[in-house]
Amino acid sequence: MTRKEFLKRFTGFFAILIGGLIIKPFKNFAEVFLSEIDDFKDILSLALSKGGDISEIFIENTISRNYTIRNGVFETLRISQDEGCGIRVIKGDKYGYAYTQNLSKDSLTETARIAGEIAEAKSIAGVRFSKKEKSAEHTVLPFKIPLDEVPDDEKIKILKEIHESAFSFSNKIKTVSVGYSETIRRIKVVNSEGIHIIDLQPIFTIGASVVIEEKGQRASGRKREGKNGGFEFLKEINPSEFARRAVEQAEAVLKAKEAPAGEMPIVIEKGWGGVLFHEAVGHGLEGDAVSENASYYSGKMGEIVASPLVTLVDDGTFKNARGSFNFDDEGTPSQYTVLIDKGKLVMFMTDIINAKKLGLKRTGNGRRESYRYPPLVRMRNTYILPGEAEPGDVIKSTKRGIYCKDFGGGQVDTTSGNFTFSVTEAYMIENGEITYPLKGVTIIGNGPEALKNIDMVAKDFGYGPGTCGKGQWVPVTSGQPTLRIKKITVGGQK
Amino acid sequence: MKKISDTIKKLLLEIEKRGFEGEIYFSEDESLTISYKKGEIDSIRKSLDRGIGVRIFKDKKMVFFNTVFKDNLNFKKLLDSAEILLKNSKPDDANLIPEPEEKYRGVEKFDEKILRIDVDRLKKIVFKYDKLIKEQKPFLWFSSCNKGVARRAIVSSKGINLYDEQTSLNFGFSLYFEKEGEKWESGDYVAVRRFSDIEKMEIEKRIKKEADRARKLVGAKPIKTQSLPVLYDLQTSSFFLWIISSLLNGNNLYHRESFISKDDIGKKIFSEKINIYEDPFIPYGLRSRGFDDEGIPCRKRKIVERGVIKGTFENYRSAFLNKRKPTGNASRGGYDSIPGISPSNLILENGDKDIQEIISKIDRGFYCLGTIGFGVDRITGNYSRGAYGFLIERGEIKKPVARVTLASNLKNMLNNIQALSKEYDISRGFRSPAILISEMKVGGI
Repeated sequence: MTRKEFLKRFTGFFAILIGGLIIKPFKNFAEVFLSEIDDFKDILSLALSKGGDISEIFIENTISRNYTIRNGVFETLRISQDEGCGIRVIKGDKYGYAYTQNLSKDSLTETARIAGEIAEAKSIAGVRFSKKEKSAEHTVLPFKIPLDEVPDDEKIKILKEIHESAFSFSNKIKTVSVGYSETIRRIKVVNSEGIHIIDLQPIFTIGASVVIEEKGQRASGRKREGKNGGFEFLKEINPSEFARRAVEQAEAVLKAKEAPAGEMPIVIEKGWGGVLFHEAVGHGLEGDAVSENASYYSGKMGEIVASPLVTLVDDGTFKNARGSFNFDDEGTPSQYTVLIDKGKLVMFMTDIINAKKLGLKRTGNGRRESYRYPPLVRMRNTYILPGEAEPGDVIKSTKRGIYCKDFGGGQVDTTSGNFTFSVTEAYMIENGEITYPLKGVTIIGNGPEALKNIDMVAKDFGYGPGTCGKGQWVPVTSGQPTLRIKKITVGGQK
Repeated sequence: MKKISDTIKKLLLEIEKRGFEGEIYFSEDESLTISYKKGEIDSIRKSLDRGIGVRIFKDKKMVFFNTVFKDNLNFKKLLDSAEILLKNSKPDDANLIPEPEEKYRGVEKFDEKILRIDVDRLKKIVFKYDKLIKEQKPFLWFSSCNKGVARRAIVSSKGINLYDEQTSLNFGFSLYFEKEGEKWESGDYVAVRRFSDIEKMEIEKRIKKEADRARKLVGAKPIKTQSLPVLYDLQTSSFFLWIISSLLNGNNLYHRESFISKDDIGKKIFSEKINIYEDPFIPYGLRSRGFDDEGIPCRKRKIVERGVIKGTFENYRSAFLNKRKPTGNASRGGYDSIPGISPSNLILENGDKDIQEIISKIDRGFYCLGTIGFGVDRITGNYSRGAYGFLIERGEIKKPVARVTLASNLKNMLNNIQALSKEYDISRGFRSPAILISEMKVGGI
């Protein structure tokens, strides 16, 4: 790729197509975005004038579109554009942060001055600059058809197809809602260590939810998909199959019986179920909680923390996955990070501040929701690697337990390791067979204990899209093979 | 502000020139946050956020777009894109541009004293309370204070032309205790709109209370699965107001995504101990407002009276769909969001016994201090959430409990209310007393 082509793709400076019209983004943004690192030298230096260790400029532009169709009505047709610049000054493990939406040099200078106030200092840190523009040579987000070059009506057509198909699968349907959102995110990071990167992160999510009703009883089901890439991934979706899955889930919930309460084994189907480990374990392995001694895993590096069947990774390089990117929001290249290797704790996730505090390398987990926030240590695509068991055998060898097919929200207290989850689609397992659907299933447990209690891991694998909240929202995926936790508390009413 | 107001009016003219009706929502948020960690400054954050959310209407079609607000805004290009999207849309009778009403009432929610707080002043405020946390000797603690000033304006082709501003000051903390290798975190926060109110929030008492709880809850274990009465403490009971407001949300009612149906309005659906009213005019109340985010005046009104549903929460769109009047409950998360629905200050009337007295009458029960997870299904009423707290035995608080689930159905829970406490937390926009539910399934080992 030539520099010109590269910039064209990355900045859209030459042509961005919105809704079929060719428009240029604001001149101001493009100018700032295309600036060489030397242009930021004054600002980075000024930010350090009170004695910070590292100064950093984060520039972001996003253009988003959302459409929602509910029962034939366009409920949302939305275009959103946002841009701004956040400046951070790090001093030890402290930081000052300020942001502005005005990208003029005066405004950036003032913002740098405010961020620099955190340091009250004696010695002035050096500003090193490399001239080299680091850009992703081998992108982990390859795509063919840029989302923002596809007219609205082509995307809306796919939504309509899903919407129509859903009604064809059941005569009990009361509500069908189909939503689409895309965000084209362009970031630039420049810091006083010489980091200078730009990254393009085009992401979309599509989801369907249905409500069905029979004899006064109602139930809902849903299906969603998301990728970091181009329109070709959206076209891969089979609208009828997509809708069918949402209806199927609602049908199961409608027939569901009260769930039991108490301790029992659970089998988690391959896929989005990995979110359980995202919550139960992943957050506790984020370097910020660890370095503060606020995590269960603080000081446990090298110890056996899980069953030997468990290898847990956090992967920022998973091709076109929702949690992937070429560079994190501090300019560190994304990586494949093994956190637990056959049961042994081998690494924590880090950002710039916590890598230094923990004496570990930077893993590229410094992420932020937008320029409005300083980065935090965040997961990317977190999953358990496949094992050796046959998926069917995991169910067959379970006498009485619960089969978890889809999960709703979960939450963890990283300090105690306690977590909880609602299982939106669950079935009873009796004598090695899946028997009937269950409603109102919540599971609660302790992350470290649950990891030790994994006694079967199958050779299959799946993953699903999600959005993780930690004061800021970021896109992630979670995945795992079919596996069994031999005992955990299930909170039903029976 | 004058310059901004002129610019917004010019933008509205551009919309109207193209033959559309338009509504522009402007917001500006100024924020300063200082965080302490273990008694030292950890971070300083400062920001100013400005943007507009625009709805354009034509032939019963509507498109929304939003952008940051600045001098060289390329509004024309955005309008071009929105116009194309509008053409791809379908007409819908509910796409109505809100009409202004005759009477608007103001409410006090701006305090010059908060406006004037600078970095040094804010540092002093946090430090004062941070010292009190340290005295409790946690092994780790955080505290932070945020000062905010928010301004909003709504102008529309229908003649809505409204502006208001509010200040806020928040203080939050968390503290950590450790025992035999196990850890526990606990915390609380307060928020006020008037500087002088911060002293009324009894921050010192809150710190002591949380420290005491965290010390006791370290290493808490599940109990055996059993059915017990459950007392939801002040920090968890406001959930019931939140869920009732969601059940009575006009949009959820219209789409039947609530176990309550439109036919239930005017009927007794909840326990007769439940009396709820909405009051948007509490001076310096956290959710106080004179008009909603579509420019409709807010009203003080009864929502539930002795268990009978008296009111719902509507924005302009849901009111049309439900054939009801807008209730002044349109609400936006910011300039970048389409109007949703949420209540202003919502108050569940309290009972006559204090929490201690309620506990003393419980032979065996669970005192719920915190919940985790989101296992609540508004459509079926299924409720199952993680919880921690204390076991109550013979009228006394006994052992700490964690990692249990509380399960029931909301319909039953809201009918099986045995007692409401005299106390409630005045630092919240949803004010609820502690609530005793006569029986729930506590899932443990």
